[in-house]
Amino acid sequence: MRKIVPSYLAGVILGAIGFIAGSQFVTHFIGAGNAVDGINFDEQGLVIGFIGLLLGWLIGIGAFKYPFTWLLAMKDPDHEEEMRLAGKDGGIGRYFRFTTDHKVVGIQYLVVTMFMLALGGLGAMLIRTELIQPGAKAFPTGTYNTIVSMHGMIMILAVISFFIGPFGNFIVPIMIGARDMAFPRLNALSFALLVPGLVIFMFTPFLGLVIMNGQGGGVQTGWTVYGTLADQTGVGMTSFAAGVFVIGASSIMGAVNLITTVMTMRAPGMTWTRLPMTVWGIFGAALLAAIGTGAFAADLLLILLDRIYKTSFFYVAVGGDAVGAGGGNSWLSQNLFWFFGHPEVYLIVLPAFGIVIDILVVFGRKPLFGYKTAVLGIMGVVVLSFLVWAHHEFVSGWAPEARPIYMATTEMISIPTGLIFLVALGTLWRGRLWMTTAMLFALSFIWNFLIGGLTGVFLSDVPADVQLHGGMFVTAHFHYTIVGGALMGFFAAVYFWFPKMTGRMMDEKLGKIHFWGTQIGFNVAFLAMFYAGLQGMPRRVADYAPQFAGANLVTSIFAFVLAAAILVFAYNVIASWVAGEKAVANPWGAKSLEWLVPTPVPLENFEEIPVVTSGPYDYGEPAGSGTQIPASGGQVAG
Amino acid sequence: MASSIPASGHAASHGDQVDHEFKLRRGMLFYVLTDVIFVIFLLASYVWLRSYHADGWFPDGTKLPDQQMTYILTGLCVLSAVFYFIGFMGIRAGNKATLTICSAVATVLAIAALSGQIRFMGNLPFTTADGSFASTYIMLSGYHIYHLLLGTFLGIGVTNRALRGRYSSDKTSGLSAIGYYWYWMALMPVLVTLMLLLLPPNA
Repeated sequence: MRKIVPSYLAGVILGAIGFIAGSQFVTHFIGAGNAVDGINFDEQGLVIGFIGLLLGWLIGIGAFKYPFTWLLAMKDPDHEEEMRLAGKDGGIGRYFRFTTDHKVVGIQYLVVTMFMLALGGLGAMLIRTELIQPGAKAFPTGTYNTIVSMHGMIMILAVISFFIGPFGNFIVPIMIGARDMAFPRLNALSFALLVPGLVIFMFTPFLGLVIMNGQGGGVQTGWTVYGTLADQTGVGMTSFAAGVFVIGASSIMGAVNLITTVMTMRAPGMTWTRLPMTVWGIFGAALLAAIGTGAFAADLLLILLDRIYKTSFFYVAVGGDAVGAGGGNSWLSQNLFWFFGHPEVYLIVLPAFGIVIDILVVFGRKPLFGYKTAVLGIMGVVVLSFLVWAHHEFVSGWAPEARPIYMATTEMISIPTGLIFLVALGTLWRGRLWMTTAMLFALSFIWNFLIGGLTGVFLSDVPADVQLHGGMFVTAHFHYTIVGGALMGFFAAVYFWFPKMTGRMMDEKLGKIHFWGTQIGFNVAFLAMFYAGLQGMPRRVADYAPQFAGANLVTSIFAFVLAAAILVFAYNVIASWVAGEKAVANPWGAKSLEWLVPTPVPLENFEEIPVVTSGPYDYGEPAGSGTQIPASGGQVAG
Repeated sequence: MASSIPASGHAASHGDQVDHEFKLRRGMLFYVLTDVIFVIFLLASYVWLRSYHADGWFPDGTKLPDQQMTYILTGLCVLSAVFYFIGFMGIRAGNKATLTICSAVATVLAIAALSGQIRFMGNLPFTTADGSFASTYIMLSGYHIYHLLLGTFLGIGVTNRALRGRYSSDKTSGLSAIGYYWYWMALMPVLVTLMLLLLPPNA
C-alpha cells in the first residue's frame, strides 16, 4: 500500500473517482429539478467533475501531504526526508511520482511537452490533409473547426511550456549555481497540474458529439476563443476553458518559482551581469507568464460563467450590436485575450533568443558580442510586449482612434528584437563555427525568425493589416515566428542539452537529416502559404476557391515532409536515450556552470556552492580567466 | 580554467546559500502579485462593461445588495488583517502569547467573514442572469470566497503552530510571507466595495 499511495497510479484512480463523484454529485444531490432557472446544469456537472478530478489526482500523488503536515504542526521533514522526496535512490520510479528534484521535473516536462507537440502535430497533418484539395472532403466542417481550434491551443500550450518546463527546470538552477528551485514542492505541483489540465483539455473533441449527431462537436472558435463565439459553441468549450485555466495556473506557479529562483538563489559571484543569456531569456518569459496569464485566465473564467450561469460578460444582442441587452460586450474578451495573447508570443520566443545566443557563443568559440545590448533587447521586448496587443483588433471595429498608437508601439518592438539579431550576428562574425546539429538549428532560428519578424512589421501597419488580417498571410507569419523561431530554438536546445539531461549523445547523422528535412519542409510549406495569403485566401476555412489549389497542394506536401523530418527527430530522441553513445560531462567544451558538474548531475547539483568570478562567455581569453568553480569551496581568482 | 566539482562528498542542505525568510517573502510577494493582476483584470472587466453600458447595465427595479452587510464583511477582513499584523509584531518582539491570541482572533474573524460572505451571496437580490452589474458583483464576491478559504487554511496553520511554540523572535519562518497574503485578502474586498457600491451603479 505504501508504494501505491502516493503514486501516479493512485492519482489516476482517485482522479477518475473524483470526476465521477463530482459530476454525479450535481446530478444526484442537486438534481436538474432543483437547478436555478437558466443554469446550464450539464456543464455545471462537468466543471464540478473536473474539480473532483483535480482534487483526486492531487490527493493520489501526495501533493497535499506537506500542506497538511504544516497545518497540523507536525514535525518538519528533515534533510534525509527531503532527499527521498527529491528522488534519492528512487531509480526510474522517481519520474512517475510527485518528485521535487528540479532535474526530474525538467525531464517530466520534456516528455509531456513532446507528447503535446505530437498531438498538435497530428492536428496539423489532419488540417493539411483537408486542404490538399478544395472541397472540404475529409471532415465535416464542424469537425475541421474543432481540429483547427485544438491544434492551435495545444501547440500554444506546448510551446509555452517547452522552454520554461524542461530547460527552465533542469538547466537554469544549475546555470545560476543553485541546488534546486526556490520552492521544490511548488515546482513539482506546477508539473502535477499540467497533466490533469491536459486530460481535461483533451475531453474537448469528444464532448457534444452525441448532441450534434457526429457533426463536429468540440469547439468551433479557433484558439483565440473570443467570448462571443465561446458562449455559443458546443459543450466542448467547457472542458477547453477549464483545461486551459488549470494549465494557466500551472504556468503561473512555474513562473513565480523561476523568478524567485533567479532572484534569490544565485551562487556567490553570479551577479546579474554574469547570468547566461538562457537565464535572461527564461527569466523574461517567466515575467511575461506571471503578468499576462492572468488576463487569459480572467477571460476563460468569464466564458465559463457566461456559459454555465448565464452571466452577461460577453453575451451580445442579435444583429451585430457589440453591446448586449444584458450589458455584455464582445470586445472585452478580445482585449483580455490579446493582452495575454501577444506577450505570449514573446513568452515563447524570449527563451529561444537566450538559448540561441548561448549556442552561437559555444559553437562560434567567441565571446558574446554585446552582453548588455542583448539584455537590453530581451528586457525591452518584455516591456514593449504589453503595449502592442490591440494591433490584433485593427479590423474589429474597436477604438479606431487608437490604431496609430498601437501601430507605432508594434513597430517599435522591432528595435529590441533587432538588438538581439545584432548581438547574434556580431557573435558569429569571424567565429570558427562548429556545425553541430544544435548550431545548425540555432542558425536556422535567425533566418526563419527574421522572416517571421519582417512579415510582422507589415501586419503592424494598419492599411496592410486591414487587407491581410483575415487571410493565410497571417497564418504563415505566425508559423514563421512560432515554428521557425521557437521550435527551431527548441530543437537546438534539445540537441545541445540532451547529453547533460540524459547522459547520452544524440545521433548527429540523424540530426542532420532532421535539420535539412525540417528546413526544406517548413520553408517551402509556409512560403507557399504566404503566396496563398497574398492572393487573398482566407484562413480557418475547410474549403477554398480553386485558384488557391496549387499553393495549398505545395503547402500540404511539404508539411508532410516536415512531419517526416520530425519523426526522424522522435526516433533519434528515443534511440539515443536508450542506446546512444555515453556523454562526457562537457562534450561541447562550454563554460557555463551546468557543463562543469558531472553527468549524470548529482542530486543536489553541487557538493559545494560554486563561487563565480567571471562571466560564461570568455572564449579566446587567456587560460585561467573563465568562470570558476572551486574544488574546495574557496574562491578561485579570475 | 576552472577545476571540476567533486563527484561526491558531504550532502549539504538545499538552502544554505540563501536567506530562507527572504526567499519565502519574495516568492509570496510574486504569488500575491499574480493574484492582484488577476483581480485587476476582473475589475477592469467591470470598468469596461460599465463604460459601454446601455440600458441593461443596471435594469430598472434591480435592488442593490445589502450595503450595511457588505461594510460589515469588509470590516471583518480588515480587522482580521490588523490582528494578524499585531500578532506578527508581537512575535518579533518575543511575545509568543500575542502571536497566539492575535492569530487565533484573526482566523476567527476570517471564518466569520467567510461564513457571512457565503450566506450573503445566497441572499442577493439578483441572480447571475440579471445583467452585467449582477454578473461582475457575483463574480468578484465569489472570488473573494476563494481568498477567504485559503486565508482560513493559513490562519489555522499559523495559530496551531503558534500554540505548539513553533515561532519565536528569531524564528518567524513564513509569517511575514503569509502576512502579505493576509493583507491582500483584506484589501481586495475594500477595492471591490469601493468600485461596486460606493460608485453608484447608475452614476
